Amino acid sequence: MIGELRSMYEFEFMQHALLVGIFGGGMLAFLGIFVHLRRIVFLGAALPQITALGIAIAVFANLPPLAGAILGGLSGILLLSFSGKPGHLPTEGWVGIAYASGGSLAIVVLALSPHPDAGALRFFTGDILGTSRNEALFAVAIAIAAAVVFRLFWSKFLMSSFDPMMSATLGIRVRIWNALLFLCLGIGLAAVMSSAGSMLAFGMLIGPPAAALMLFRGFPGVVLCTLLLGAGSAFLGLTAAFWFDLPGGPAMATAALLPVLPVWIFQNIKRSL
Amino acid sequence: MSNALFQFSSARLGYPGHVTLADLTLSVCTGDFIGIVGPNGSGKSTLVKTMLGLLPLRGGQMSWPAGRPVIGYVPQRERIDPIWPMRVRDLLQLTLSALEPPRLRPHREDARVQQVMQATGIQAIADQHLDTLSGGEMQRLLLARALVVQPRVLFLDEPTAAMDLFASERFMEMIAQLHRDSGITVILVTHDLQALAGRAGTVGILAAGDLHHGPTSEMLTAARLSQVYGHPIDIHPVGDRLFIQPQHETGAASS
Repeated sequence: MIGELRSMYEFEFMQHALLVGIFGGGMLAFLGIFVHLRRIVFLGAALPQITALGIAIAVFANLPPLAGAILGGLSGILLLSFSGKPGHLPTEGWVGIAYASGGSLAIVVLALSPHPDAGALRFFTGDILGTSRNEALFAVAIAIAAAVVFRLFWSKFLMSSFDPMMSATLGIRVRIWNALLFLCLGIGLAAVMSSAGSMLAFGMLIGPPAAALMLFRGFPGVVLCTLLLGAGSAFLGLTAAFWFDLPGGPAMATAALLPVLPVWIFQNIKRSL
Repeated sequence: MSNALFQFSSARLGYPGHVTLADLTLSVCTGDFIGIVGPNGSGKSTLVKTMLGLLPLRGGQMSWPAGRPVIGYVPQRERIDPIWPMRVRDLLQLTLSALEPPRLRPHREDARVQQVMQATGIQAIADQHLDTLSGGEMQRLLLARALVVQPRVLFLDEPTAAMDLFASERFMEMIAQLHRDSGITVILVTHDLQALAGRAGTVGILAAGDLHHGPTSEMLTAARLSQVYGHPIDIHPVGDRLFIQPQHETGAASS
């Protein structure tokens, strides 16, 4: 078994995919804690779709998909930040429009592309095995950078997300910490989506933190459990994808979401006892 | 005024395209206990948000003559989301840690956290999670969180809303004692007119885009309150407190 695993991960393409899954996916899983607690899961669903549109536009313009993903992710955050302004349509309405139009427009733009790219659809279906070395290194680099930033400014991120009004009265610059949080989210999504597709990105963003938040009632436990589940599901999903000849991204996303149901059942049983 | 802490001068308060309070002049001195009351929609929240710096001034001047002090803010408890995985002591420590310089090592619990839990009587619930607290406990925690930063001014925004009679009374008495003992400046926005009598030195009544303010005994009168609320109101003194009650439509006071 160990020998088989070792030989499986001797392939470079498997190493690249694992790096993106563990580092990029782990980073998204961590950021997902904020997405859940700030109650912006819809936003977390819409952002990958807008990032996909960015990738499609990059393919259309014959630019690197990663550049399109970064631009798409950041533009999505900028656009959706205006959705909270007073108006007749609630924020959820705008987020829904972004979700629906991002995904569909991305497919249309790819279909109209003057640069036919048979592999472009992998950004949507999530064939992580096509990940290049540079894409893998980019995911590792931004995950490490984000880890340092969050370790240093953990209290400020937490406080400004938990109670923005109180934070502002204490002189904490809520807008800056929010902008930094969403910047990390945009770049994290871009890093994962440009190689593994929207399913893995959203699966990682939602699954591991959901299970961790149900299991633990303090931040040290929640963060540790989220990271372990994120990294573990990346490894398990990728290994399963190789063995059973499954698409890598969706297999990893399924592994990321899998713990949610048993944890929920466990919590309900525990509560009823 | 030599000990003026905060001043509005001909200030216009409100939102873009909608001025709630025009030509507001107000001076708050160090150690004041000011109660702000008024009917729904009269601009109480706008006034507090502007004073806290959360809303920009639409005109006129607002200043902290001796510099902006550390402010403690007690919001309505509905503003706090209990799904956050924190215990009472974690929230207090987080508030302190967020004001400290960045560090790689985790913060240890500060002695100030213990102190403030003792002062507000919440040591017994120190290890409880936010989603297990009652309304009264949550409000005491929010007071503790406001005090943990050692503020010179304490803003309270309808702190006793949704609290039962006894919890509300205990909470208001705690604020009054804190004011007496430490001399902290208190600005309290409330619907509970009775809570101000015997506690607040000054009362400001917001009505029709204006703030009328003065000593509590002059402001909490049947004539003035009836005029502000547009309905006859009776006031009965009980010791150093007041029993304030709207009259029935027939004109007779309810009993």
